Amino acid sequence: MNNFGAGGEEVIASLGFSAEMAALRARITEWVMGCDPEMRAALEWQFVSGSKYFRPLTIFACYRSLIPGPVPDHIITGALVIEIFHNMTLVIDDILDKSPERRGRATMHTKFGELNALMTSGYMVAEGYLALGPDLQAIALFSELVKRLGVAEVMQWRLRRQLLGVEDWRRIAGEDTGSMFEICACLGDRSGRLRRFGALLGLLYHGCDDVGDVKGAVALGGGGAEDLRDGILTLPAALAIREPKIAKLFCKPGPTDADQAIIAAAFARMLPEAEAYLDRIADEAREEARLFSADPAPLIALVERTRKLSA
Amino acid sequence: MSESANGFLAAMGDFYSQSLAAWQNAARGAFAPNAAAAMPAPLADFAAAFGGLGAAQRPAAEAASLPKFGTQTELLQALGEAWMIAAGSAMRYGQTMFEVQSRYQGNVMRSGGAAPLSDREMTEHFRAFLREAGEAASRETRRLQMELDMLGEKVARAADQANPAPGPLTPRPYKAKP
Repeated sequence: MNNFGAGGEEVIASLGFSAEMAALRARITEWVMGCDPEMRAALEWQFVSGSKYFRPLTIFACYRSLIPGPVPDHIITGALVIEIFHNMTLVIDDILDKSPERRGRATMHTKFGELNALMTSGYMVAEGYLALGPDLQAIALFSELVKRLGVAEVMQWRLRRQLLGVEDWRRIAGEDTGSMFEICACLGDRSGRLRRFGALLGLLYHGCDDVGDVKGAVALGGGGAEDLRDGILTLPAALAIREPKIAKLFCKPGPTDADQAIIAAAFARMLPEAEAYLDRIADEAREEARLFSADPAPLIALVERTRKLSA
Repeated sequence: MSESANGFLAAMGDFYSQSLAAWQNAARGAFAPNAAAAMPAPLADFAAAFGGLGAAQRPAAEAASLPKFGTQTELLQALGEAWMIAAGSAMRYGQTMFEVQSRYQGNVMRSGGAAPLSDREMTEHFRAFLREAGEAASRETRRLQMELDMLGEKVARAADQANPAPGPLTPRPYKAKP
């Protein structure tokens, strides 16, 4: 779940970040080539998988919404490291989910084995911190991110198959995808002024991904079947389990295929309500952009694009 | 929801309405002509101190004759602007809270006549109401802080222009540390 879908390049160009994105791609290539030869093949495999760089784009947009002109080098370094850390989380997710493929390609652990994938993910974290150099503010932000992502994953797993609600979904999603985009906003604005905007954008992204999974939107990276099987609280799930019969099936350990079909149908019935809820989150994000940025246009463009992910 | 809870929330609604009206009156009256005469002594002193507010609306010749920035008049104008920002913020917050409460009133304060909600649904609505109330406070706090920061920046830049420092002007960051 890390791309912009079709037309990503057009979005980058329309936001005026073609030069910055070219610089970022060059930095990624340079970084991979400079890594230890033992790790290089796995890293090349991971980093040529067609990311549309939504997180770096969020960093650039947050910067540009406060300060006009080209994005400076230390902000581009932050974008490089967010891509490294994001890919680290994908490697770990794929191992945990036992996913053989991501976006139509073999996952790192499938191609290189679990040991290599685990060791490479640790290597990526160390390399990321090294790339930040003396930027103490960015180091603090990345430390916050890694801690929050770890806590969110543990919390999400502990709370699976439980009778929770939309407010609980907001908290889990806010710590999972929300924390990633919150940190992107802070890496871009360097003041905390757009932190809340980032949190809302992440929440919107997470919710659109949940809804997109139910709609079978494979372009978002899939994962819906695993969430349903594992009883993960998605936005459609939080709405559907208000119905006692569905709640009982959702909380049942080891649901049968027939149970899962009934739950999936209930999720599908909740799509209009879920979409309306996402519209409200998008409204909140737009309002934050208008209130706290000098030029909200790049931020609003991100919101519009994200909102379309579930359409 | 019980009658006592209904009564409490209704009282809170009245409180917001009254507070909002009080703020609106204060903001309207504080800088009106001869407003000081109708005010209690401390507020009248305050209004008198800010009597020079609104330099932007003065004729250009009169404004040009004002002393350079840093004089008492200029500082008092900035203080008056800060007061206006704070008063506007308080009004906005009251208004937002009123809107949040109105939006949830139907569900949170639902009583006998309406279709009953399950305990889970009621709890969910109430949690959403509490979250939104907290978010409204947080957003307004951040907005107030930003507006006051911007005023501070404006004052600092005006002072820089009146008394130029050697070397290039260094823009002040919104916040120095995370």
